[in-house]
Amino acid sequence: MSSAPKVLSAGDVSRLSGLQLLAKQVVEGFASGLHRSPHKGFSVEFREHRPYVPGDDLRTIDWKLFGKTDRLYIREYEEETNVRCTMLVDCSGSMAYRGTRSEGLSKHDYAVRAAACLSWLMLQQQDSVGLVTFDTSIRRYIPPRARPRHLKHLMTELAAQQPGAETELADVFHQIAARIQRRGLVMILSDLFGDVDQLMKALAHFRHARHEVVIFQIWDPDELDFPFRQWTQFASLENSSQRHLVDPAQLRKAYLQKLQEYREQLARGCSRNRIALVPLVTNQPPADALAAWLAIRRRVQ
Amino acid sequence: MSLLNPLLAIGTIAFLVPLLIHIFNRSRFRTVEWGAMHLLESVISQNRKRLQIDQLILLLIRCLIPTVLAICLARPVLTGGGLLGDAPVALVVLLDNSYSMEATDPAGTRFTAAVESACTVINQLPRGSEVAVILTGGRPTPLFETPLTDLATVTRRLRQQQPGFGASDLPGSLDMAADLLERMPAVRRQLLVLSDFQPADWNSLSAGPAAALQQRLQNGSLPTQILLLAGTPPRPEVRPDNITVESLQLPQQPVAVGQDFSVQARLKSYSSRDLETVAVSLTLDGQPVSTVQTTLKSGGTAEVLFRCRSEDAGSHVLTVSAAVDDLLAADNQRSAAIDLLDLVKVLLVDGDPVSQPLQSETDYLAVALTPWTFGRVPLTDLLQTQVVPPAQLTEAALQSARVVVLANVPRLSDQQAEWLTAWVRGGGSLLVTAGNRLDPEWHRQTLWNNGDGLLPSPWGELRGAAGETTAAATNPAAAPAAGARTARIVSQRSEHPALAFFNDPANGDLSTAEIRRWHALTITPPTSTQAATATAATLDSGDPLVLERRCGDGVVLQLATAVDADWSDLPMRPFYVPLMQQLVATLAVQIQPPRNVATGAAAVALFLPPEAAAANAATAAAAPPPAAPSGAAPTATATDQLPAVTLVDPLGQRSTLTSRVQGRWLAAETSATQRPGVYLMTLPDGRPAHFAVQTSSTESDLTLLDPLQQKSIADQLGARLLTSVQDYLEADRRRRHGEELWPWVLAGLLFLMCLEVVLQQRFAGVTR
Repeated sequence: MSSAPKVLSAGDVSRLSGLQLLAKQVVEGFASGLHRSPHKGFSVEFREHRPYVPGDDLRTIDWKLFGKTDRLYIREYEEETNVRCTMLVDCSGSMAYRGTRSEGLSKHDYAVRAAACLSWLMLQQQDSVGLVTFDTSIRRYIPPRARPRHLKHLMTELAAQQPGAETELADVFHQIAARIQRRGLVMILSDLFGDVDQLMKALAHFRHARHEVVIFQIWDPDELDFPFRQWTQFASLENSSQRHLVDPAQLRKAYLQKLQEYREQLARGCSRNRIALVPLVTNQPPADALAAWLAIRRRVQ
Repeated sequence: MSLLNPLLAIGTIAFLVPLLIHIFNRSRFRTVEWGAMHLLESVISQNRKRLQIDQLILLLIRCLIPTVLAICLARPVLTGGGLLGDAPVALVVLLDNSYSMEATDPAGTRFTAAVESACTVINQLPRGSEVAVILTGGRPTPLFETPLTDLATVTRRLRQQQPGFGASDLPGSLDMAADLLERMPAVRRQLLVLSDFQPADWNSLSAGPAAALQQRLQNGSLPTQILLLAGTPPRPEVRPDNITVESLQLPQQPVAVGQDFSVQARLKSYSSRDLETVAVSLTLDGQPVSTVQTTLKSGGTAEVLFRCRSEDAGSHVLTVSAAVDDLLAADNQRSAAIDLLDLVKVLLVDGDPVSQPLQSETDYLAVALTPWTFGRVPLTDLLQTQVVPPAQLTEAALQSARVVVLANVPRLSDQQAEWLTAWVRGGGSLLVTAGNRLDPEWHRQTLWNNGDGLLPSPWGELRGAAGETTAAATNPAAAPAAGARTARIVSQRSEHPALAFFNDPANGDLSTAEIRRWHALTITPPTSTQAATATAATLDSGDPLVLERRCGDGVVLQLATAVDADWSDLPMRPFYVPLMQQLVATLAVQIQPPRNVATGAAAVALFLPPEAAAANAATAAAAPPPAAPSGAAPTATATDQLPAVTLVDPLGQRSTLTSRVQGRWLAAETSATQRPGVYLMTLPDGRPAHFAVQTSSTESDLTLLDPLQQKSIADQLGARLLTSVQDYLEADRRRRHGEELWPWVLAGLLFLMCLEVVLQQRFAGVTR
């Protein structure tokens, strides 16, 4: 746990400790926990009897009922499962943006902290958590585990990542969707900068695989209100050849309009695919933002 | 365009400041590593062109603001051409003081407004300017002998002026103004015409003279600016309300005291409404005589006849006034002067005295001259006759008579002829008639004397039929020389004042009379020292019947036939009485110059010197004739001490006239008769002499030229038409000093600043 404090402060941990993450949908899991699994297995909670068919495990036959009825029935139990949560953390160049109002955190730093919070939370409730870091392609894939020791592994991996190359989110999401075999909860921490249509197709891929998808969209306040006044040269974080020297005051209106359009388009797409879209702004503490979201989530449930 | 603070104009280079700030800002940009490039890039690519234009506009406005501020501080002045500043001006003011300027507009009379306008213009003139004023009413009259530089005096004198003069003589006034302007030295020359623009005044200025005048004023070495200032612009739909007494007609024949005479007044309406009752009254020397009611249609005329008489001899004033309330009160009355004669003494020298009634040579004549006396009618005759035989023609008798008639007088003594000649040359009037007893040879030698004597013509051969009824037996030598035929007076229009009375057929037809005998009279061409002979009436035989010739200050009429019934049936004709009355009365009053004159014409009064008057009074009182011949007295005694005559003009201002010698008379003359009205001369003997100065009634038509016509006149003259003097002064101030533009520039600056703020916010997408 030596590297954990780098990404997860004590305050974050204490703020999240009382919360329980409940997945909206029932997902597959085999670790017992608060999530009900659709798989019937060994458990204390009886569900139903059904007639034996050849091939069923003989251990599941209710022999007492055979004694009473002289027929073979299979005894089935309700099973409580754990969530298989996969966290997708964007390490693209655009996540390196560091505004003046976010206490020195870049969007990537913020994403890492939020991911750490979520990981800790999930592992606390015996769910398994996996991690995918990506930019143009998948950088690292850590499959979900539920062991408490897994947290350290995740933290180390998150702390090691630095944002860098250009992203093409849609391609990467397709690849990731192909890699995650079992359905579960997919949490995406990204700014989702890219073509919305392509992105929606990729996200639909996750849904097709019957994953529950939650997107934490990371915004810097500067990106939301465009506060620049003096002449500014905007240099792209992803492509160093893209530079524009403009008077931002003149552009502000058009920019905000464009931003609004983009967000609306995204919100529409997510709503259509039943994807939760949670905007996080880097000037809020990550734990606060997550706590607020979880509270909302619980009310819905 | 010039600048009052040219140094501050250097501040215009401050336009570099925004430019530098712009360049500095662009160079001092900060770099932001930006993530959301996909949003920003599309915005930039869509708006690149608009952004550039916006920036350019903003930059331009920001550069303009300091530039405009610098221009504003430099105080630009708009000037058209060269600035004249306070250079002296030569100004000639033509002021219309005709009586139509007395018409009242809502703001006062037109004249007051014109004078105030002139004073306003004059008060604004730069120091050292020269001003001349010409009053155009009646006859162009300069107000000052030379142009004045003392503007206060000019305005004071202008304000003392009164309108009421006769119709304006604009061509003459403009010519006079051009003469004055050519003599004035200032570089800037202006001609200001203040008039009410009556068509009657201005239509006399036809296109030709106007163009010539413009040529003269504008193309001289120093061009003149002509300004026409009309008063209140006329309202074309309303015809000005005005009634005028257009003319007064007095009897043509002389009128004596106690005689009834008629005064005919003619009223004209320039009004748009019909007047049902107009009270027209006649006053004689201010005393009301009678009042008559008449109706006056819109635009029509009405004639009113008054009868009047007076028991006082001498000069009287008749005034006809119409009691109406109209725009112009000055022309509602009109005056005329009439000189009522005292009894005119006529000395009839009878060359053929007979004691039987109507057989004597002058019997018919005496009756014709004093018809009321003979008819025992209680009316007064103009004339008083005294019949004497030729032997009693003395100098004393001559001095008491106004007219002498030599009727069929054969001859006079040389002394008598001498007295008579001196008396006629001194202003007496003589009528010589023919007859069977006169001695043609003596007449030819003494009275004609080759044209140097009294007679206009020698008596020629006797013509006509031998039809003399009474004298044929007594004088068989006077047989008819030509064929036995009679002659008649040619009926033609006569210019002679005595016979002009018969131009009206109602007064009698002279051609009905039959002249049986007459002397052929021949008119010889006069020499340089002799007066010309005029034919007043002719016979159808071609011979003159009445000849007239001035002789010294007097006049002589020569009748080719006799005045009794011997040679003609003239005494039997109804016109004999008026004919003889006219002839003798005309002779009696001919020496008096007219009392009713036009504006600007000379008013002349003739009077006897005091000594002669005293002598006349003495003879009239049948006193013995004075020893000294008084006829020649004035030339000897009065040259060193001529009596003065006081003149009172219609405004009541007194002036003194010096008299001059004219024959045996003294004459007082004035030409200062521009103002219509009654002038009164008080002669040395205390008698008044009134002069009624009349002007044309065209001024009474208050219809004015409409603005289009005014504009056309202004174009003809190359003049500028002003409607208000304030406009002119403002324009003139601009022309002299230019117009300061800084308020406009400041407004532009404020506008630019507001525009900059608005545009900047608009471009930045800030909406409030």
